[in-house]
Amino acid sequence: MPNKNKTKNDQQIRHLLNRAGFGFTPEELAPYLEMGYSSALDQLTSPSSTDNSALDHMLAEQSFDFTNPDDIKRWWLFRMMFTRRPLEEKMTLFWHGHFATSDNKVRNPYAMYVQNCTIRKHAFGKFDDLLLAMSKDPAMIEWLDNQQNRKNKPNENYAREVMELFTMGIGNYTEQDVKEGARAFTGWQAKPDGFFFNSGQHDKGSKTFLGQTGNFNGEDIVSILANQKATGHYLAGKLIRFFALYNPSNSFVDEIAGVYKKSDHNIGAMVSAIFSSHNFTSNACFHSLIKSPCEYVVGMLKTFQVSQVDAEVPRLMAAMGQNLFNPPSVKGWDGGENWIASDVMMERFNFATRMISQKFDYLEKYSSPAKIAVEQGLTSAAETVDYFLSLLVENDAPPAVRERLIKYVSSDMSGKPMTNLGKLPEDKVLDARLRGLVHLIMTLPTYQLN
Amino acid sequence: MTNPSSIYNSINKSISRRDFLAGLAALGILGQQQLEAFAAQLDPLAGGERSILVIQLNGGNDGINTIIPYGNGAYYDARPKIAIKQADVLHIDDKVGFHPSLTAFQEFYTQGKLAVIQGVGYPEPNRSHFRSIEIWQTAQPEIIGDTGWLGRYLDHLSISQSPGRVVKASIEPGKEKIAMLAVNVDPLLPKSLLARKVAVPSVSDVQAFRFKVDPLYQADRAMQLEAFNDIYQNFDDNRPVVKKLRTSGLAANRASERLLDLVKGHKTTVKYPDGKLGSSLKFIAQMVSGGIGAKVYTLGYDGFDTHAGELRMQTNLLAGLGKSLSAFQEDLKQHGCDDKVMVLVFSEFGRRVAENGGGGTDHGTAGPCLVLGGGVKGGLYGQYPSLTELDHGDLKFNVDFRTVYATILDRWLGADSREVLGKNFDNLDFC
Repeated sequence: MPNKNKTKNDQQIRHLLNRAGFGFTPEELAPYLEMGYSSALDQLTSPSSTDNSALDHMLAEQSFDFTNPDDIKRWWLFRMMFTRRPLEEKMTLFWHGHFATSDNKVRNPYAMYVQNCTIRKHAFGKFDDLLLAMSKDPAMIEWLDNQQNRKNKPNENYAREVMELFTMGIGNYTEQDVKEGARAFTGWQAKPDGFFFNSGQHDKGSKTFLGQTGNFNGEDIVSILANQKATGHYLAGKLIRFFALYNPSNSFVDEIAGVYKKSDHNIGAMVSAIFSSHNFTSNACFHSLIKSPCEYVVGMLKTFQVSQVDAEVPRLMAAMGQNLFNPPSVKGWDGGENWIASDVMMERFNFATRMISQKFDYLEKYSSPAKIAVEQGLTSAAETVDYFLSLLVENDAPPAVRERLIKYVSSDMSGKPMTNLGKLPEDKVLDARLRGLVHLIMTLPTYQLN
Repeated sequence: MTNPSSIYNSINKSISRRDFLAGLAALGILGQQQLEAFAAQLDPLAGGERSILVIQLNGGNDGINTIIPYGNGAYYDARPKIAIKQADVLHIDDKVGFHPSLTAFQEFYTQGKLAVIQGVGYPEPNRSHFRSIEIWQTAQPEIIGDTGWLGRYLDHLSISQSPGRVVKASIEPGKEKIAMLAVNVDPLLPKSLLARKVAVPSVSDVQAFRFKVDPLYQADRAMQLEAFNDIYQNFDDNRPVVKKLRTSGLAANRASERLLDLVKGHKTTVKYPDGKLGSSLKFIAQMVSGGIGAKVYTLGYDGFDTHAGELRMQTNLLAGLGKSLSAFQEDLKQHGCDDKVMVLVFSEFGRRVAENGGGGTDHGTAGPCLVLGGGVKGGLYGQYPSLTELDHGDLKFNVDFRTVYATILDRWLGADSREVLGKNFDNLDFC
């Protein structure tokens, strides 16, 4: 029998892996349980120290075509599923939703792929570097029309969104700042081979931006914005709501904004501070966020070890409300309750159906519910229900729900109670029941939570 | 125009009153007290069979190139590249006309069922897409509201009137029929439909909207659904997020059965344009003619943020809007419901008067609202804003958007706009 502390610590590590990554397979979980919470956190927040060559080989074998819109989605889902650096992918997803750029307008999957690699490279570093890289990113330039931002004919799109959504948030600047900021980014263009500074189209004149005056260019604006107090707060709030809590206290946001300042704008330090906080390890944090479709889908693929990501998977995720590389607007995904409107809920339920259906039975590592039951030596309906409730929702379900699931498992196909469960794998009724049971558990309200 | 038949009579075609109320209760949309109050007012429900469809043009539609002030030289001065030639404008009068791709709207106008409300906006305009959308959807420019104008209307609808007759909702489990006060035909619920007492389902693809089981074990579907419903009804847990999940999950399954039934029964010879707008409008026509009894439908149409390459983009978008709404009107007419739905088309803001360097326009302020339907008194309403007396290069509004809402609430839906909007707004005469 594991002692109570060990059980609690293990649960916190699973909580951490769910939030800092996309769930886990049993093999992935074991070493983290072994090393304990603080070492696990250190490893997750310093991804470059973890060897990821197995993933690189696996990706090379898949020979993705990065000019194909489906392939770049599958490529990223592969990374989420098989990386040894889960937080690196989770941070990349965070920034993709932050610097939300959509291929729906960019119409250049390769540029979207390049942007994704750029984000990954800067995901844990100094925010200024990431912001500058995004300001010069060809997909971003196309997305927010900076290609058309010319001297004497400014286009305000990038200048507005960089303040409203990428740095300070609304209410911290004037319409005049938008106009002056746009002038500073004139001539920042993209060419097929990357960023291009079109000096002839750049407005070299004096600008007054957020109270400072000078012959500012885009670099200056990036630096001014990264040094605003509002930027630290805005980023802190957004990171906390993504990784920890929907409604953090002011003091928690202030604390993480303080880390932004003290660490010279280091994003990794902010994330590390969030995961180290008692706000994160408290009971109130557990199962308090609604899983994004990415978390729901990749988590499920990992649990059942489905190694196949066909083009259908990103399509179904889009139907659940998260179309990778195609966020709904420059604001990214609002998340939270938006993930559970009635029709996207139905898509979730039906993805769970797909996961337990027999179409995957031929896959080598696929853990069908019946296969898991045999491996675990489960013999009674109650034992089976308890095992899967523990595996899938950490037992977060009221007793009446457990009873109802036991009743379901121990009924025959006409709904009459069965006195004895049959023997797996021959018994088709039991096979159907176990698939149905796991489907039902994956439709539970608490399975939608992280 | 006034149709005396009540919502109850309209849905009586396919479901009984008792089933309808039981459905509302089972859906968790109304509690018992509200249900009783609602039952009391069903005969006649204010507004009868009338409903409102709100279409939001996402991204900020350029109103100046939609309702074009072609009689004003300042228009051509401000837009050397993207002004529409006088000869191409579809004239309304000698001052303004429709964008050339809006032939359908010109036809609606000629038929007297399109109101064009010019210069609609609000004080201290916000040029952020997201804040401006929020202002239009909540109708609360002064605060960050947490309910929408349509949501508050639905809340009032569900509790107004004094409790009268008590309805005993007792029908066989699993046989309940569902009626919905509103349906959002988009993946995400707009803030306009956030309410305190009413949960509105979102259904963007009715065919995919069905609880599925392993194809090899179809026989198990009924048992799984039964277990699902038992579990969702009895998932005893105080966390607000769990309650929201339960409401949404139950609504999804209950609405799914009802909507699939309804769609199966709908026949039309009208061909809708391909794409999401066309298929969404077709689905709404199916719900209207099938008598689902919803008072509100909402729908978004994306792509209007034309900072660059505006001419081509806006032409395609407006043509799609016109053709789709034309098919919608025709479909409703075939089913005798074209005077029962009022369509309001709006965008979060218009765009800058002067074009920018990329053959596009930046975020602006006021713009036109279009109101369409058999119950509309067609014509031009409001003054076209001046193109030269501007606020930071943008139009000054003449009509507060809440007067448009108030008119629809008071005159079309028979509600009390003061209750919904928090204060009195004048009515326009478009209905």
